[in-house]
Amino acid sequence: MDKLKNLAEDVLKILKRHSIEGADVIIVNSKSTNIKIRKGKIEELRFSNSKGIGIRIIKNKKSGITSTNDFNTEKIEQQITNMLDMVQYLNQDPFVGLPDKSITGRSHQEIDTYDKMIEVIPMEDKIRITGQLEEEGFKYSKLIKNSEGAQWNDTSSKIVLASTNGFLDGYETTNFTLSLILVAEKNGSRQTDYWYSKNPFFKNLESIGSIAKKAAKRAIRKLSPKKPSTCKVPVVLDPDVAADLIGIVATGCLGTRVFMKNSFLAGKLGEKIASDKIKLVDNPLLPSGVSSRPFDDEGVTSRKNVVVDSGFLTKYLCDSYSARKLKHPPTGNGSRTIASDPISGISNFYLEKGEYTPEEIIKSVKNGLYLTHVHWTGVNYVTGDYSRGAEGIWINNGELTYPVQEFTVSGNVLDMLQNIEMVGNDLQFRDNISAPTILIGDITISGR
Amino acid sequence: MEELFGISKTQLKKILTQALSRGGDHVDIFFEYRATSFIKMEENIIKTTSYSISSGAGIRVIDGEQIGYSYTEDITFDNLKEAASAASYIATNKKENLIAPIQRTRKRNLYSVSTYSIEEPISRKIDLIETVNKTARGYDSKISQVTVTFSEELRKILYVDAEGKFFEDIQPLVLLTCYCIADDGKTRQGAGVATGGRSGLEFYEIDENSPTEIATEAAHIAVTNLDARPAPAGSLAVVLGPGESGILLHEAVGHGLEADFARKKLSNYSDKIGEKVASEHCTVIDSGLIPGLRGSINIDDEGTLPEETIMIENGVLRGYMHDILSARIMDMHATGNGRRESFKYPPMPRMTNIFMKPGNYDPEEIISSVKFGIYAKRFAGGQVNIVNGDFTFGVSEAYLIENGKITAPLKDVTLIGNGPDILRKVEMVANDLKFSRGGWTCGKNDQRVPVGIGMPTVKVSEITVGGTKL
Repeated sequence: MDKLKNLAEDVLKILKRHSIEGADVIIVNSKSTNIKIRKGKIEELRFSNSKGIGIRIIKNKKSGITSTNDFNTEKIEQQITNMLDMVQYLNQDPFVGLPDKSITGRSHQEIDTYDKMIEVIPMEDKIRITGQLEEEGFKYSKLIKNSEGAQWNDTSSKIVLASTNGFLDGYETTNFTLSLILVAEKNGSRQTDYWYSKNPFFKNLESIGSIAKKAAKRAIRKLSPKKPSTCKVPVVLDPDVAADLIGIVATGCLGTRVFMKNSFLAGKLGEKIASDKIKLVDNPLLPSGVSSRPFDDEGVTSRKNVVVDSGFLTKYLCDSYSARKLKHPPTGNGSRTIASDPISGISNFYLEKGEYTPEEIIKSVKNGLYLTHVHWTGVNYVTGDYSRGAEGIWINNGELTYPVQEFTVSGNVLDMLQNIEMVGNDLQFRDNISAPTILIGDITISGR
Repeated sequence: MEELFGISKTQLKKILTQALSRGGDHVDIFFEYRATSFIKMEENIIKTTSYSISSGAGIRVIDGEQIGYSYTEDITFDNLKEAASAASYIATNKKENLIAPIQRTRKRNLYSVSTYSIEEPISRKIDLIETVNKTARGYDSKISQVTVTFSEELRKILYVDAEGKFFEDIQPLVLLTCYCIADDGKTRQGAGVATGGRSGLEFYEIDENSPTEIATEAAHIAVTNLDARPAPAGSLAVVLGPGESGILLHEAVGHGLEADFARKKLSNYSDKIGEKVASEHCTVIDSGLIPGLRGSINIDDEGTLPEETIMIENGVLRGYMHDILSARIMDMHATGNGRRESFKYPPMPRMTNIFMKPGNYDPEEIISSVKFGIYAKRFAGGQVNIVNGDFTFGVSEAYLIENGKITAPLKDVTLIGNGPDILRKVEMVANDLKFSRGGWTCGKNDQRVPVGIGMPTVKVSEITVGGTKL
């Protein structure tokens, strides 16, 4: 960490030799191990150790980014000089700039983002755990006939940020992921499904027995699906599909999209955009959150943001540029790679849990759909139109019955949000976007 | 060739020896240097630019069906030796390997570039961008926002393996994109169009790739979609437009024909060579040989020459796309489809440019044969379940066909179905094969590579259309 901070300071010194308005430097160093085991054998073992430095230079109300994975300061200086040449060709933009010093700094609330376990788990153990995960999956049922493999990933990252405003700080994160993809077969029907567990702390991962069982059950329950008729019915979204829907709302409230009016939530601040039961939160300070961090990628202090409260849109999530453009208070949602301008991005985004058990929610549906998968594509962020390929289980008299596939669910995200009738109490923070089970009133299903 | 990225021949031999210290069937070292640049215009101003350099070298060891991989970003002899040792972890066969003398491998010559775009002055690129912006805004007063980007890449790669194979290649890539938002006071609609390939800036001097062309196209779709109606829901006849519809072929059929899925019996097309898997109108080809296309390569990322691979011929499955690993395991020949995102990853079988061979029909004849259906012209992307072939596609530009005529534009249509099933339902194939010049990037197992797609106008008797109108 100190080495990276020293490099950041050296680069700032170089930058200060040039006549510029300001600059910031982000340095990332990530190490990871990936193991894939399929049918009991290592299929791929991949080690990764990547680093990079990204420099934003602001001169004359113009901003350019230069980045490299070569930490040689002479070469970095050459790139800075070249970028200063390129920047001249841009147009002036009054909103360009670093975040004001008063809003930057580490959050006072301590958050733990690093698990020392990552330094001590022996390679043999990682391989053994991954192998056992797949083995448990095959053991669960004779219907599990094939596997796309069990995977282990552990990643540790060091992030350092420094700016000509005097900011210099860094933090370390870890994340562990165990995943399994299984194939079930019966009477010529072949179905695949997966389960995974991801957490910054090794001890918080689901047990391999639990991951294996879920992956197997999910593949088996999809066997011999029917194609549903085209109709309009109430739909229960399982936590993954609910998280997908919430993720669309998260994207829609990003400042970068809003000022370009490239969002169905543009112009809707203060309006009621969802049912009373909906509270949406972005919290970078979430304990054990996979995207927790003490400050954002521009150094703006992390804080919990309630984006939708009792159905009202209360905030957009902004980086410093979009906050200035929208005259919006800072939210600490600057997000960047080393090679790109900061834009708005979420941290840990979730739908606050409600009062019903998932069973109660399913029970409340006479004839409807329990949605377990939606396929990507099919969202128009400008209008909120939603039309997704989907998979699920049909609900008859409050009971899950047969699997259904090869159909789409369609509507508009804003209508769907208004029609959320029940929110489950089963919120678990599985990834950076999380939600409990929800029930949405009538949705159009296109099938037979 | 005395030194590669500062590593001498003698040192290379030592690294390869280290990588094979525990045995193994194959080892290679892949060096890469990549420069990328990006310029964006938004709200009528050239707002931002970026320039990035990334370089490193990766070492792959194969033992049977097992792959070990490790890389370094600081290319020194010691770091490469360490990476070699890490990659060798998986090897157990204790096989004695000899390191063969290095010999330059033959490669093709598919990128005709006078000057690499990244070496051209930034002002030339800004001119292109400004032309797009001006044209799009001038198209219609309803165009309220325009974002234009230009991205370019120069990838220098160098490969050497224990069998003595050696090659270098320099791969250019350019892409110009235009995204427009149209607003008529009541509704807003967005539409994007991109054009590019493995070429220099002269690419944009060709009429169909010109900045005015893509600006007009993006603005046209955005404005047209303002009047789009809700799409009908249910099973309908679908006419796939030329070019862009190739994404359907890529997702719903192509991935299942990549030999890694096929050999693991994870594909719908596993063990079906010689069987009829599509209607007789369908011949599906992957070709890395078409000059200038995004997916075209002089040589793949492990030293095999790309070729024209016929996977499905008149409806019959003929073969798969291979890398050297799948080819060896399945005892077939490598087809030049071993590709990797960067030095950080080992190669795997990937498509280059997939397309359907043109048929005999006139496109007009196909449209006029449909009483009630959908004309799908431009796609937002897609997804496929390779194990059973089920797919979903977002159609960003779609029209209703009524009594043989294209009529109203339709809102955000989704097509859902099963790849092999759709190919069986192909009833007519037109003579108008077209390759998309869009910025298609295919993701598989976390690795993204540029690809091309091509398609003639095709009629499918029925596909499930996800709409809201019952």
